[in-house]
Amino acid sequence: MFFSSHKLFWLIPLPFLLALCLLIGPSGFGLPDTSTATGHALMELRLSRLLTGFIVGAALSCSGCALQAVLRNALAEPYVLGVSSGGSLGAAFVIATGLSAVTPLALPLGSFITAALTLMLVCLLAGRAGGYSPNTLILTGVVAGSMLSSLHMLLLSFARSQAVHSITWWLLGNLQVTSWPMLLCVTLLVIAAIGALCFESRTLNALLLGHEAAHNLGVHTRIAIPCILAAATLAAAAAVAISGIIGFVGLIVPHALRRLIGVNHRALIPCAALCGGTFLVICDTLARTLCAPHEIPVGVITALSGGPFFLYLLARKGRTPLA
Amino acid sequence: MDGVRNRPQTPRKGVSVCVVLLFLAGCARETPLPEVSRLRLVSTAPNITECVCAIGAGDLLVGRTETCDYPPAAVRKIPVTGGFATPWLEPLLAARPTHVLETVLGDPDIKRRLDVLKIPVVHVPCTRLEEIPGALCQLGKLTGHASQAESLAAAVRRGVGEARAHAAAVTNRPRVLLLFAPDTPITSGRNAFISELLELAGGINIGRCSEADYYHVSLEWVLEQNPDMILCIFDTAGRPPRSLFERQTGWKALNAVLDHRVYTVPDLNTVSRPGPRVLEGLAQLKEVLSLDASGHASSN
Repeated sequence: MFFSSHKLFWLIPLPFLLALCLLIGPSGFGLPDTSTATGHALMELRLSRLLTGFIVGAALSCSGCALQAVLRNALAEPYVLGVSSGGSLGAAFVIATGLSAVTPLALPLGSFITAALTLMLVCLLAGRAGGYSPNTLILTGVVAGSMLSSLHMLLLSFARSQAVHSITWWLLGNLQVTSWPMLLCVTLLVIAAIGALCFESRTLNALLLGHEAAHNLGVHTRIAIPCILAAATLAAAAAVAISGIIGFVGLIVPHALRRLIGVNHRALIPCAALCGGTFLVICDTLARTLCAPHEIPVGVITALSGGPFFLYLLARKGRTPLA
Repeated sequence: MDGVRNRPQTPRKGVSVCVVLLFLAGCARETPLPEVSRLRLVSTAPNITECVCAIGAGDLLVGRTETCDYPPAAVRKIPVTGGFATPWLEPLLAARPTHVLETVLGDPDIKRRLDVLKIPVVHVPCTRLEEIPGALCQLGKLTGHASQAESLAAAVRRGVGEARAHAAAVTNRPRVLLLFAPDTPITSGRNAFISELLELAGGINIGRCSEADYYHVSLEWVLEQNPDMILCIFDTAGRPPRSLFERQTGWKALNAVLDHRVYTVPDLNTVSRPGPRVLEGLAQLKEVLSLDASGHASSN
């Protein structure tokens, strides 16, 4: 056993929490009456929201877990390689040019394509600049992210006020998915990425010791690291494509789990998927219901709950959060 | 010793401060309005530009926002000196304005900076329906076009009054969702100009439960409200507005989508910009509502 069974007890309430979230909505508490057309639509809506929240939360948490291990940096998160800036630029372009009014698929597709292109660019530049050392990767990601953010600002400064409004709301994060086929595509992509990260969990454990130590332990770092980066960042890109930028999930869930179950990635990655998904579903339920009919951006709830935790983490001295 | 030496200086300091204050108070006087022919105005909102042009004072404008687009022939000649509610200081100063007209400022610090530069910022309240006639009269008085402004304001008051009397008699009012973006459910509260205009045209804004001008609603709430019709206040890129929703999760189950009661208006600015074209905007909304009523009646 790679983790003791008593550490699993806290996973038991998760399905109940998810079921509770399905019962709560701005239209009231309880399951909608599915015999009516409106009730059926309400149920479909709540289910799609719950599934989207779970998939996005799982993708961001697992991505954060893997990136913190590969980059050996406690502050690493799914967007550290510039994926969020790339995705935002694509989304802003689609909204500003009016393509989002042509088809609902334009926004997630545009966002995903630019996010994936950003990842390729960062990996290419980092590979040429000095291998996949953590510092090179982080610096390349930060610089690429800043450049793309500047282009995003430029686009915003020329966009019409209505487009600026839409772009701003998109940036704040929204889990309202427009169609089931799109959710299915993203789910398959995220499952494949999380599966790849689970498969590479031993490599992630070895990478915690440093790239050189991992190499000495028999890890082919020049192949394994780009594969892990690709899986982690593509999961984040898929999440960005359907939900916009939702911060803190990929940062706080991995750190909280390390405190609970330790740093073994064979347990950490699946638990991150379950807890990250449930955490985001709870945050989204709060975002939809706290000030109904106003919907608070879900990123605000995750940041408000994650911010104090993060400050607590920073305030701790003498203990590295990755160990 | 130091304390003893400093003590007699305190009253002297107080006296000098008083003298300076009295001097400043003496200097302070209301800035006299420049002669009307020498006025150089900068508008910081498209509805203010429309008001100034509508009362025949468009030639006094030396700066406008990048969103000002009406009347097209007049605004084309005016240099751009900022965005909506966000004037750019350098182009604004280059236009050498005597007055800057604002209805809302994105950064209140701009007013302080312009005050330092002795450029008066004139606040023209014009964000609500009932403020339009007053804004026209205020601008008329400032620019020396009082009579034109008064007659235009009277026409607006008369038109709005008639519409209000007509709306009070309407019994079958459709419940309308005003939608401002194709990708995010943003609607308007009861205090927004377009909401007032819709109620005047004979519709009921389902977002009127909120005081916020514009806000993000959850789709579940929209489903629960199940509006009779959806009015899209955004550019639909030439597509029939209903086609944007007929395949989207949640949206496709709304009565408005199922009954083909999703509309837009030909000129989005007239219905969302509180200005002299308010009666045109009202007419557009009335036309949509009557089109909906006739279509709905025939389908029933």
